[in-house]
Amino acid sequence: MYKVEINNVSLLFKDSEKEFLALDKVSLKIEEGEFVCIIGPSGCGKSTLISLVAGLNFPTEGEIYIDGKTVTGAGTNRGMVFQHYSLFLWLTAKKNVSFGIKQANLFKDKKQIDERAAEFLEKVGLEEYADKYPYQLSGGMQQRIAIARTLAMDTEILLMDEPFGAVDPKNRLALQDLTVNLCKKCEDRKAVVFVTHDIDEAIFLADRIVFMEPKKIKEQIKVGFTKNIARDQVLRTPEYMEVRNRLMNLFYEDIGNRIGGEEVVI
Amino acid sequence: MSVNRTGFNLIKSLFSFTTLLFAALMVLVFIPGKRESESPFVFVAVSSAIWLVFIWLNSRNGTRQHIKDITYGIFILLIIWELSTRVLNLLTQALFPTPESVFQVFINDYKLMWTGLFSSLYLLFVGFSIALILGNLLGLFVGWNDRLRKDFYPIAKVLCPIPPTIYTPYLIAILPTFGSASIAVVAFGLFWPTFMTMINLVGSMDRRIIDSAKAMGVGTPAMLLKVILPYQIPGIISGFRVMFSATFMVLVMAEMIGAQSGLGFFIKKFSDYADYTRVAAGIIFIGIVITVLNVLITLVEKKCVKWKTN
Repeated sequence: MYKVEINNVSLLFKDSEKEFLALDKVSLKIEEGEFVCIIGPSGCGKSTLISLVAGLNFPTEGEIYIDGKTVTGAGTNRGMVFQHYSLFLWLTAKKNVSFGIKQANLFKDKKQIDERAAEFLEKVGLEEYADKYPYQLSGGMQQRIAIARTLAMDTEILLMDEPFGAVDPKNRLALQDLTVNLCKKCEDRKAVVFVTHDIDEAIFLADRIVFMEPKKIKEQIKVGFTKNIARDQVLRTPEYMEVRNRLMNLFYEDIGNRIGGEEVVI
Repeated sequence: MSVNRTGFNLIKSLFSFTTLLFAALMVLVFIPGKRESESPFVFVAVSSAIWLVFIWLNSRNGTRQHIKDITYGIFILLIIWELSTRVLNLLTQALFPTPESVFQVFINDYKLMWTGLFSSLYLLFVGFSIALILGNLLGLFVGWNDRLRKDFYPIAKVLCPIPPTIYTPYLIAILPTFGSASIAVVAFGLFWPTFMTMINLVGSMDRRIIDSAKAMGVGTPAMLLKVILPYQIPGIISGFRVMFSATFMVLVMAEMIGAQSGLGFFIKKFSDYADYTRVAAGIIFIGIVITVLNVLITLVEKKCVKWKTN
């Protein structure tokens, strides 16, 4: 049994005037403990797909199964990190994390909740900022707290929708390392679905990269260096170049197709 | 450093245009005029108090232009008033009382004014509480539920712009006591705008906050009370601020119809006797009360909304 199974899923957005097909018969299977990156050009439906897995939207056709059960809505077995503004502005950093812990029903006791919140703030290196409100923190820090909040809920599946898209390049690298440490190097690995449009980010993080073109999945590429080697070593391996070239080709092929199928000189 | 700065500000505001205006006013008060008047004691005390508050505000926070401007305005107004009534007697005595006699009312009639103040504040407080609690909770609930929103929003849109003063006489007629009628007027007048504002606030709420709460498995009651309500507190308070002035107007009008005490009652009673000295004092009193209440709202806002930048 797969952890997440997306089976022939389509999604049609309808309003009174027009219809828009966002996903067209997409199928994807994700195993327990697997880190899957979904990559593709803007508007290809990758964020829509992840919102379906989260249970924030519902497919108009097809089914999504988690542990063999159909998804009927959001649930505490999945945690999600968004690109923007996902923290509760009216709560301090620590209370944001506690909110998630309470929501996941891990503990009843206030002291245990507090301790767990502190523990996860420490994991993302923000224990000193526990009592700050989100507006007092930089974008990167806010995103680290969002990650701490989601991880502290101890969900079996992590969904990350371009979590580092709005973070500056330097912090982005640090956050990627943090993600690897917290999600891949620990003992009980969670299944992760990570949406990005950054090729290097995908290669560095993923066990498997799913390339989407508008409405459907075009290609899946197995990766899998990150077991024990550092980033600069990854960059020097021939596999890295190979995967990167393949993804670049997919991206430019897509642009070419959209312009009109002619050969494009860039 | 900060002591020096305060001292410097103190000296700067002591030798300012405001002080000059204050001095001019004090000179005017003590020169013999063309019109007889009450003792200037209370008027002088109030003017001095305004001047001292100005000095205190300035020495504490440094000079701020709007405080300066408002103080200039007050003193210039008082100088014109004093000149045109007591000193030069340019205006009709019956319609334009001297500032001395107007401020004297605060001493002579203090009992009537204070009972009026407390009875008005009581009506306001009860009416406001009913409207705010019901309006916000129902608005929250109706705004969240698609069907209820589509049902009730058009109704609220029709009822909201009807000024409560229109049904004031009717409410006074059907309700047993004047007190309950006044409370009903305030509550009614405030309920619809509060309700409608809340529906709008819920409707225009940031989807990303709602999505992130949903993704954490937040259910409907917690979504309403722990996510949407706290997120909307600043909006609720600023709406409250706008409605507050309107309600005060409604209250004063309601009291003019049949109350036995109250700020509006005070003005109505003496304008019936053409006692414009007391009417003017009543207007100034209401102005002071509104200012104090506004300051309180600002304090509450600061206390409740620590998480916002501004």
